Amino acid sequence: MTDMALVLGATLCMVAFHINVVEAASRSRWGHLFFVGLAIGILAKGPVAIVLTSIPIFLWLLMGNRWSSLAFLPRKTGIPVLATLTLPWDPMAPGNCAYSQR
Amino acid sequence: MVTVDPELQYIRERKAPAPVRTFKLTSIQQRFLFGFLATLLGIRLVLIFWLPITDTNEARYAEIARKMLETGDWITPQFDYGVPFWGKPPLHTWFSAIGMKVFDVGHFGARLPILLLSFAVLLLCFTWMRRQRGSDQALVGVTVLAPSVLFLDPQLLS
Repeated sequence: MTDMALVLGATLCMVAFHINVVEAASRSRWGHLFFVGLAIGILAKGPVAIVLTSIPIFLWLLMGNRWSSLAFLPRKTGIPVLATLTLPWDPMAPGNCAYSQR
Repeated sequence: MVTVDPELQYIRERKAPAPVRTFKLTSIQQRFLFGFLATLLGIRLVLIFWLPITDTNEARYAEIARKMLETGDWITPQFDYGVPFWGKPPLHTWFSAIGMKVFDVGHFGARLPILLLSFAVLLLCFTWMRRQRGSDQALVGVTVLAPSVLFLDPQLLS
């Protein structure tokens, strides 16, 4: 399979998003796991992981008119989790900035 | 016409969820599915151990991971010594390099952590389906996912 780490990240995003919406009892844990899945995807294949996971979630929200369920995501604590997992690698890799200027 | 699925409707209207049509497996059926999954696992382990690297993609990723292990540079994956590889961030290279550190340089060490990742995917799907429908349904679902062609491909790095 092409890039199983990306598959794992994307699957974790889908599963965690759905459980976060439909199971009120474990909302916090799976809401944060959604951002962990996003971090796995980003470390596996870069920011394109956000696009790959948001397309099916967008369609799911659109098809059932489920936009209100977006509010269940723990953004205030989840985005810092995502940032601490993904941001440290980028400036540590020498030449990353130089590459983007090429 | 937009249909709202029952799952979300009961959250919105605070009603009890609609009963879902379901089924139960007999213990013989369960054992058959478990046996099937165990056989599949055995075949996969033999294949990743026995099948050499023939695919160019897999050879490239395995070599990048080997260079990560050899040079000790765990931050930047390298195409060639000193030539950074920009195709992907290093997560999958970390996995293969750790596998090679434990099981020596070779295709088995490079592939095994990726195989474990695929188990994590199966486990995640099982957990999700068990929570939504029940463990028998989850077992059937995982048995559908596990033998699918791209999932079974022993060239796990390609």
